[in-house]
Amino acid sequence: MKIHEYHRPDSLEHAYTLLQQDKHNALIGGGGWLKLSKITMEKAIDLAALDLDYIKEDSNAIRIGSMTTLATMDNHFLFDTFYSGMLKDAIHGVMGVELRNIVTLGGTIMGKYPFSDILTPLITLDCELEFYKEGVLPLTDFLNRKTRVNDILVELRIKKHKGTGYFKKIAKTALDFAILNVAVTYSEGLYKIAVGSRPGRAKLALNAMQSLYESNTPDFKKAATKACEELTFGTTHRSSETYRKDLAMEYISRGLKAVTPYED
Amino acid sequence: MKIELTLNNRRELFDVAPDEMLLDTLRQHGLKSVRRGCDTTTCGVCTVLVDGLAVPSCSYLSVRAEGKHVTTVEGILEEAEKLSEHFGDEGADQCGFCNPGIALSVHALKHHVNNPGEAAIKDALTGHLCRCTGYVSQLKAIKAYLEADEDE
Repeated sequence: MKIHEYHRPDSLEHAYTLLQQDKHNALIGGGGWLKLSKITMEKAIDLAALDLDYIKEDSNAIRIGSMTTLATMDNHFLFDTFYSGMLKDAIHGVMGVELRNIVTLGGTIMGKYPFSDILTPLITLDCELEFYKEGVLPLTDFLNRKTRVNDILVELRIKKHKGTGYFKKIAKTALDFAILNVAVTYSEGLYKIAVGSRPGRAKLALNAMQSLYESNTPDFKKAATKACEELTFGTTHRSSETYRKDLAMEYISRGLKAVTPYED
Repeated sequence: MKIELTLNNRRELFDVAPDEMLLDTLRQHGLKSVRRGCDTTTCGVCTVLVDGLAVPSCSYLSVRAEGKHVTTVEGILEEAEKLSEHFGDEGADQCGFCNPGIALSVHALKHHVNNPGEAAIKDALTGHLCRCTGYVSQLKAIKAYLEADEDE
């Protein structure tokens, strides 16, 4: 990693102008993975002075500024109970508190990291991103977009539906990246299933979700099998494809069971 | 780039490169308690406090510390000495390489968590790799230190 010039603009407009000047200019979020990257930045644009470190709530959504650290989210009361504390479970499993004190939500989203434990639960929620110039974009549209969004992420909005959630990270040690991570939610009759670190980036199991929606008596094992058929898994030094698939099968079933409202 | 920051309660001026990490700035300044371990944010031996928060200095740009309070173990010596006595009592003090980072994380824990229990201590230890112990002795030592600290 090499930085030729460091800038800390005090307005979004200034930051955006710097970003557009040269394709070798780049934004710095938390900078947690900066050291490990091979990037050379002509101008590094630090977003630290733009007051984007906040968690707010209005009647419709939780709004999280892009420079909010994972530690701030981890310590915020809103995530204690939101979707059964699913996001908190995911955030809390990211490395140690030292790294969570610098890693930002915006950096996590913009990086589209396949190993991310945060993107997996987020795609099961109703999320949208607000960019400075491009405006509002659904999170899943942003993640699926092939071209780079050369804009500044201002905030993430999570719609405040009522629901239950489940998150599971499977890793060899507390500090390792996940072999697999699974998020399952249930809200207003709709199940959502997401699997990340397959090792590919988190994806929703849309066919499995559809079959659960259409069924009056949902069969969790069948839905987990369907999810494993439609999602792709791979082999890396951390785990084989078969093992990942077996884990997904088991933890999707457990997740579906955990989020299903209890009926007398 | 010229930056000014408060290092262990003293205002200091530094001339840093735009991509220089705080670990390098501090070590060049003679603060050898801030150690380079994995250099990839995993091991915790480079931990320092920036405005009271424990951060990995190997991945914290020095320019970002401008105007902030940076604390190394030299800034909490009295506290660190008390903690090290408990480490000695529990046999948690072997090679000692990871101790300064842990001492700073314990300091942050004490100031950010009310009555930290075992789960909070384990959580504070998660970001620190110790190759000598199995963390049980450290857990006991930190627990004893926090209890003694509360009694004072």
